[in-house]
Amino acid sequence: MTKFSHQEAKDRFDRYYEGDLPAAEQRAMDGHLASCAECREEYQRLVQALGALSRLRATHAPEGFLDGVQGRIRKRSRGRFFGRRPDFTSRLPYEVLSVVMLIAILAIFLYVFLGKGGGVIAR
Amino acid sequence: MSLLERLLIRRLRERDEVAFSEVVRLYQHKVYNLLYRMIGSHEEAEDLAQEVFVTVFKSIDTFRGESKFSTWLYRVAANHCKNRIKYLSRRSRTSGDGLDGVPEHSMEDAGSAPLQSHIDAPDKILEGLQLEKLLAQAIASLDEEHRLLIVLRDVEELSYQEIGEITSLNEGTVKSRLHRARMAIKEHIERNTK
Repeated sequence: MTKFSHQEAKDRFDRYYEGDLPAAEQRAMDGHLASCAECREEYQRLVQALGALSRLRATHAPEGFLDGVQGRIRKRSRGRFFGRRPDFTSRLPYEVLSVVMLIAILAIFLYVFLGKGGGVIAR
Repeated sequence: MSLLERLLIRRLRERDEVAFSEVVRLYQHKVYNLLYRMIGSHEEAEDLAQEVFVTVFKSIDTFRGESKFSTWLYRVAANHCKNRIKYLSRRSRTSGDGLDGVPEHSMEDAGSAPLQSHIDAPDKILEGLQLEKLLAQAIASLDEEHRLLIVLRDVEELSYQEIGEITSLNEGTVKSRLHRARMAIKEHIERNTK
């Protein structure tokens, strides 16, 4: 039957606590703790500490937490709440502007040219 | 991932404000508790928890659905928290305050008087506020990696698989680090009780 030294037993305390040891080691730990008062006391102190950790009161987010998150998101997204924005709002739509400008220049040119031409023809 | 979770994620990706609110309502207390237990300050925990949800909303497109949404959320929270602890620790060292390398404000709820002066006996402190203060101090005495494992396993009671996914550590590494952290907690309590 497996027997543990004090150190070997201490190294297995938390796995023993969680029932995570192979059956033979679990039995060896049972035997060691039954016969060693020092390790038994130390193991009890660990059990108390872990038990206390698991009993820590759950703390809750304060009132108005959701408003705080929403406010932070709105502020950083400049009021748009991270909504998807059409691409052209992030910069000037230069492609569209250049086409419009070309059309406008062409229209002015045609108006002036045809106007003059029309005048010439009329004369 | 459940069907409800998938639908919620889809709405998040569409930047649905109602879905955002639902996610915050569902997870705010879990995230807040994790951060408070890690950092030990309500003020820092609230600020950090808000940052976590802002990050979630901004980065939801990077969530690939390979783990549970809550696991991904915990991972975001853990990363924020580790960075904040490092930052606070650096700031504390620079300004020369703090206790044994622990940020001073992280001890705000751990009481200001020396623990030995107001703790009566180990058997009497096992319940109540004094023990909670002592545990908060014990957790704060660990580095951020060990602190995270203790909080995830022994406070939040997550499975080793979830902890592995959150921390990107394999199960063996989680267990061996957790062992060291638990022993350190036990020793801290022993040192600080009569």
